[in-house]
Amino acid sequence: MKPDLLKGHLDLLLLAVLAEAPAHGYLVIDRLRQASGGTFDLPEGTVYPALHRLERAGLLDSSWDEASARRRRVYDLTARGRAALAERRAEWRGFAAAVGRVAGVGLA
Amino acid sequence: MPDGVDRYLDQVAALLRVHPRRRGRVLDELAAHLYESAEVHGEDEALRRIGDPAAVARAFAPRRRDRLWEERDRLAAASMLLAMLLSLPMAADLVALNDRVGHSIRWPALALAPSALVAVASCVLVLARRPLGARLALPLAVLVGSTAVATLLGAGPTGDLLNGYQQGIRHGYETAGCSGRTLAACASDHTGEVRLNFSLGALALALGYLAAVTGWVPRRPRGRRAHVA
Repeated sequence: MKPDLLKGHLDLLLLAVLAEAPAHGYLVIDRLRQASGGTFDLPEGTVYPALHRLERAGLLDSSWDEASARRRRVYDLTARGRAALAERRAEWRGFAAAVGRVAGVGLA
Repeated sequence: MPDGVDRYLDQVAALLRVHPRRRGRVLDELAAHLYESAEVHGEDEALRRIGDPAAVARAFAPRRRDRLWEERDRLAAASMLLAMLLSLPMAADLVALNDRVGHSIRWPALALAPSALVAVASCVLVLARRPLGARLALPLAVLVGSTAVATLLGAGPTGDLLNGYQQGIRHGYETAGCSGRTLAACASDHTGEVRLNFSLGALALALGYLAAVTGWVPRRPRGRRAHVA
């Protein structure tokens, strides 16, 4: 999938991936790729600025994980992040249903 | 660290336009990512996957509303230099009055020179985005802090300088703002104001500068974190 197609939806995808469990950047990218069956294979460097932006917006919290052999920054959803995820999921359902109706594509 | 990863991080670092405190975090995160990715996919593939360093650095650039906050270290450095420049006329007044009453300013000038030199060096280096600039901020705060305390107590080289200033006004060499008061009272009032303004102003400026260049912000309370899956 072209990275441009993902641009407007990256926040929703990152929040959804982190809603499963806290994760560091590499793991977030890996989960994103796995969950999409390899469809979301975006330039990995673009995920970190998005994580930082979501943290600045108060939707994520992060701290260094010093427990493992390699020091990593671990991200977790905040309460505001969970609320934002619920809101964006609802928006996405409405949007996808509307596009499907117009384009004549049924959603499974 | 593999050479390619090292070069990649250098390229990102050269193009990153964020606060030095955040810069370290960004580079640490990218380094950890590249290490892990290189172990799994090999260095070339890891570098291909992470994307063009210029694009990655650009993506970290703050939005317009956050730009002032990200550049607060350089704003503080510019403000510090401006404050030093604006204080020059007052310093010239102090020197002139000390000179007229026959007070030597050699000792006070020598004692204050390190603070001024460290301040200028730190500001110039911060403006040039050199890490040494931020490292000089703590010694600067200590120098300014001790000078401010000595000034408030009327001791040390600045105490000498202010004594000369007070004598100059008392002898009538400077009478601006003294109307309706005896020269002795005016000298005492002026000197007291200068002492307080210089000490507290310099201390506030140095501490504000220290916070801005080191990226210090009040700590937020954190909740307990679940384990990484």
